[in-house]
Amino acid sequence: MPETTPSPSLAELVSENGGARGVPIELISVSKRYGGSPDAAVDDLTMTIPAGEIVVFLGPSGCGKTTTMRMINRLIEPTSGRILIGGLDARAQKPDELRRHIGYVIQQAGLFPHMTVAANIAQVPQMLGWDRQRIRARVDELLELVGLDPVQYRDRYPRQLSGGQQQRVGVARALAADPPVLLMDEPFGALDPITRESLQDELLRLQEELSKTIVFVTHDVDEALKLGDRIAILDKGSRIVQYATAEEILTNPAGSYVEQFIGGESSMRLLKLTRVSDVALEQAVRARATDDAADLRRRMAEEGGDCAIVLDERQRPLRWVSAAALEGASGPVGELPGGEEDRIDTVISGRSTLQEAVEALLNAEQELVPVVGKRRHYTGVVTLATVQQAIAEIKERERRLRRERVAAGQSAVSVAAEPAPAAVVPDATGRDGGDTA
Amino acid sequence: MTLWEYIAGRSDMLAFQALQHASMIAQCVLVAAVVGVGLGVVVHRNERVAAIATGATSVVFTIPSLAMLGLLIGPFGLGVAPSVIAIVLYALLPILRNTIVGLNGVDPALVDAARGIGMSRTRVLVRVRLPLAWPVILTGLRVSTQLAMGIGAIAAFVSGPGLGEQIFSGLARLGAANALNATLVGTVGIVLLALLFDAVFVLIGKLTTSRGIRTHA
Repeated sequence: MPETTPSPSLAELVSENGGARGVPIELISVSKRYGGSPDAAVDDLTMTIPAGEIVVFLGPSGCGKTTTMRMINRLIEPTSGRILIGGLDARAQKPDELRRHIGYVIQQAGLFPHMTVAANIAQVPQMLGWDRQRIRARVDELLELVGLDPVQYRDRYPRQLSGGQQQRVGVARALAADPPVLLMDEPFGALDPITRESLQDELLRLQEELSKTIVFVTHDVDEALKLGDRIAILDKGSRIVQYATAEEILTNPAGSYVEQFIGGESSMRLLKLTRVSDVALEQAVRARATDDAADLRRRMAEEGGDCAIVLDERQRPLRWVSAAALEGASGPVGELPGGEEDRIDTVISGRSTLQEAVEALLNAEQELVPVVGKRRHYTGVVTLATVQQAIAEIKERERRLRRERVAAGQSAVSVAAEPAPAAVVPDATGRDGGDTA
Repeated sequence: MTLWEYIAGRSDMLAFQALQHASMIAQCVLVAAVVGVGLGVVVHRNERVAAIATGATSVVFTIPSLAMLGLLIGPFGLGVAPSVIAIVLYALLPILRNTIVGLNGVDPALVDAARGIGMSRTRVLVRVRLPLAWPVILTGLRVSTQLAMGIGAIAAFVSGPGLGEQIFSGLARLGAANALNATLVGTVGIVLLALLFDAVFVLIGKLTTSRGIRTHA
């Protein structure tokens, strides 16, 4: 994308691009010094934020992460260095016009209290000179996108909304003109844990749909690990200590600073990060309620395993049948006597985390828990061994990547987004491929 | 002659004086509002200049109104001119101060959000700062109006227009026929006018303050 003929402004790039998709952001030797202070707030920072990814700036307060973010939309002007957004120099554009094409979300939303929800969202489209009808349609579309019923909410005032609802409107306002880039400055910091959690999930869902380039500032490690395609861990002066995926940061932290920041429990955190659908599931022997018991016993003997799963006609799990119960039995499997422990009450979805899987396993009567996809459709089973294996594989993969980096003469930990080995971000291939590749 | 007879006998003149008074105050407050809000908008971002501006108007405030009117006779003579100038000067301070306080009282996070989504400084002022500062500015206007009512009465001292004439002539002839009536009519008239103006401000406040920031929605 940066190789195309440079357009003079982000606005034109956006209209060429059809708006939606993210563009890369490059910071080149960016520094920010303030008059009275001997230390630079941001000291010679160079980094690339790949298109369509969520990059989290994680660091203690005062490390310069917010300053760095604010230089991207020129709320703060860098003392030196260049910032390219979609290959265009940010400084070559009028700041106000630039900002209209960069979504901006702050803590506690920053909604204008004297304007209705609709008017808040309409601000940027109004500045861009859209006509009324288009603005109204866009407002409703955005409210639905962020999960608020337009009829119910468009004419409300911010103070009539909960904190979580306000921040949803804040996100809608930022997305109003379909900007390729979103800047989010601790947007969920002031919310209660449950609301925060649900808004994080919502953001990930939105991002799957929109593929914006999102710069997300936080000091919450869990939030960073959960949301970030990549996480830049910053020290004083916005110095990059590590710039890597959550998996790498957890399995191969760059020194004590990062370790201290993560605060241990890295394997538990990996469990929280990894989805059941991302790991290799085991398969139990499948059976239908109408299958003959003797038949099934033979199949189990052939395929191995001492437990078979009985599915209904729509592939939904019904119950377990153990090899012991089949011993000497005949007739349809569905008519075998089954105890409490044979019933399947707990299934987990592919979208669950491994942590949730472990929780389910520890509570289950059996040593395995079925995994289901859409409409409770059976896809496999997970056992504690599956989980163990998955974590071991992630660690092994990270070790391999580390060896490759060292062999290639690079630092043992990632400090730059380039080159981005595909294996580091398993889901990157599904995205719009706007990487710098 | 009873008070009622006094009023009935001069209803035309009294109505005219009341109208004059109201018109003078309305116009003076309008001028003070334009100058005060304008000045406030210009200076509010610069702490030093803002301090100088409020300081200067505060100094005006410390001068007794009677003395101020007397001082204005020199350059401006008698009548409307010194009255209007004095009233405008006094009305300026509450408006200017409340404008500055109101504009600076806007949550910095909101200004940041406004700048961050691409509003120009002028647009931030017009769309965010002024609407949010408006209830505070309006309070300044109300205070100024009440103040101007009182000073308008004293303006009769320099032969200014309005109901003050009743009070002054009454006080000058105290003991004579109708002196008390005149004073009472002037005073009560001004109080009624003040209440009327205040009611108008309440109405303006209701109509012009966004439902989102009204204290009693």
